[in-house]
Amino acid sequence: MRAEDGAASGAIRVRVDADLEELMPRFMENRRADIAAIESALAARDFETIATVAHGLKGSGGGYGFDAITRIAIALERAAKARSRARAQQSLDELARYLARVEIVYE
Amino acid sequence: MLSISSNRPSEKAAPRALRVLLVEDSPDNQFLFRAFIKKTPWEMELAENGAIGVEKFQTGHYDLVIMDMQMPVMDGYTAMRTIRQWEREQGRAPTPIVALTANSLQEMAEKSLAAGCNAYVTKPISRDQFVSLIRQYAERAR
Repeated sequence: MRAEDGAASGAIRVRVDADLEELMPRFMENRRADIAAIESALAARDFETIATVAHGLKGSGGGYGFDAITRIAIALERAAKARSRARAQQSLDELARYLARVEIVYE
Repeated sequence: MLSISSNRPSEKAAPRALRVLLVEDSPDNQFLFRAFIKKTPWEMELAENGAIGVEKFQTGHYDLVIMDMQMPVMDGYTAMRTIRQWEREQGRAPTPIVALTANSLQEMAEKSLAAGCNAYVTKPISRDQFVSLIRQYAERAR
């Protein structure tokens, strides 16, 4: 994951249901695992694995309050199905940037 | 529904808690859906794939099944067809099944309905959507 640098990487505030607070450390840890899994699948051109991971992200991101994760995952799943390494890499970078910048406000 | 006559209607038993069987392989969604219903009186049992879901369905008693479609070991379509066939063989009334999927394609909705679900819902799903979905069936089960 890239380090935050400069104005382009300011915090993105997301409002999340307070009842989900205790689930969040695990959710974020699972997303870091997803990024690692997508990275190694990309290196191996294993688009099936990328599509599976993206499908899972698509179905859970928005439920936790992260509509952007679902949006990025839709693009990633499409890229994987089209076997486009460049587009998959783009979505992966976008996901990593998003996760680095997201700041959760519980309410 | 079982009705017990009583001379003291004020002692009428509280309605039995609605029992939901959630068949879902994603731990993220398992934890999420549990948190969604934390403040409700509903009980939710978990099965992490279709095969376990069918087994639990046959041995437990559920008012509603919420079934993910894409799962390892046995997917939701096969699990639903297996449940529907078993209910027919047992002469049981069909239990409501709601299909859950991250695929919004019309084709997937038709495939789920053909496999025997009563409703089809696309993930991601918010707490309000999830709770109102179960509430519809909770009211019917009374």
